[in-house]
Amino acid sequence: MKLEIKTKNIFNCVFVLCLVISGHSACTYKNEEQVTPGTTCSGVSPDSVSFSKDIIPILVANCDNSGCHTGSTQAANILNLSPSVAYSQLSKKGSGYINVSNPSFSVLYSTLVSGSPAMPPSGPLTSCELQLIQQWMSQGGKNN
Amino acid sequence: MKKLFIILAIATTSLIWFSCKKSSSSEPTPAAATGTVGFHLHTDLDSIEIDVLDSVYNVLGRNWSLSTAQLYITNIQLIGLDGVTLTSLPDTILKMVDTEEYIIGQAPVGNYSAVRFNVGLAPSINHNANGPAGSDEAGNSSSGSILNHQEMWLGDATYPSGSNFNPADGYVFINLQGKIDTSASGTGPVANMQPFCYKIGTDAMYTNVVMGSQPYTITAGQLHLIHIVVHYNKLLTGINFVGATPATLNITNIAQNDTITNPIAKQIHKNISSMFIYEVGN
Repeated sequence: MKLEIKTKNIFNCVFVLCLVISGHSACTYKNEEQVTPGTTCSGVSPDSVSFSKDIIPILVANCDNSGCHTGSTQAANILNLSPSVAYSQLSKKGSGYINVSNPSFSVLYSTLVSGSPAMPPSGPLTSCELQLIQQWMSQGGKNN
Repeated sequence: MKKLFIILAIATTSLIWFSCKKSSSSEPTPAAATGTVGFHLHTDLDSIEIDVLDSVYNVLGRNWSLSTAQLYITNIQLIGLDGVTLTSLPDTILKMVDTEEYIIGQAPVGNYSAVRFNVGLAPSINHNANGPAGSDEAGNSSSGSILNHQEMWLGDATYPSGSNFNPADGYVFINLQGKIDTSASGTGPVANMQPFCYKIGTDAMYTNVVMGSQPYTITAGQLHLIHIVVHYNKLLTGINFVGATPATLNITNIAQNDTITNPIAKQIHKNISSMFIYEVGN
């Protein structure tokens, strides 16, 4: 009888310990899940985003080659993104296309991520391309 | 043994409780379910974007140049997908040529169908006895107020517009000035272009503009810009400029803004809504 009670108590203790461990793990697991690993984009160095080498190819592939923001189209009249004039257009005073202090509030970036519809119409830029654009602006949005 | 069991049970409960509580308190505060809304406003003459004032542009066959092009936008409301629900963003914008981006405020995340707003200032602001030192729609009240632009003060027979603020007269809602070719060809010598000055105001000119449907989504924590082109030439649609006299080319005070007695003012009032067009592709 005594042995039976002792066994039962040991069982209860083990059960409780299991609860402690599982309960704690379950709760802390949630914290670990919230850590989103940073997106790594090959070739992107925070100190070296170049307008001519990194940004222009994105604009050409998505805005210029599409035939929209180039030449004498209506879209180009508002914003011409042909390589030779893209920087002067984007940096036009008061236009807000570039925002070096808050790139995500720039007209360029917000139009790419939350336009209606977001630009370009063919589909969104990749997260790496968007990251490049943000980094370029946070580095001063230079014509480099 | 029983005591040990009770102690363990209490310890277990406490541990689970605190670890769970810690977990939730260490979670980042959920982003407020709002996004930022702004306007990106272009200044155009027909399809020509005006970046440089005083340059001459051929607009639909007639030469124009602008020296001033600015207007007040107020009572901004986002229209829900049902076409009925309205989200108000009480901000006052003074759209100037050299500024295109205007952050208006926060709006609940979700889908919207269009936007509407007024050109001009509501009578309560237009005739506020405190004048520019009073509050604008956004509640700004200081000498640096958006209303404190002397060129946007309307005048009457006693004194010209811009010289003094008189609450009885209120503000200029749209200030459009420049030169236009009044010859039959519309493309005569630049030196012969005639000056025009339209200072549009009075409560009768306070106009509600309902933009057409163009669905958009406000996303949490992001900026959503509504891209609109302001076509200033459309303000003067229907006005015959060939051989135009100063009476046609000028509206500068309360009396000339009378939409009943002055056919030019009447036409301009009719045209205000048509000035605003969504930017292509946005």
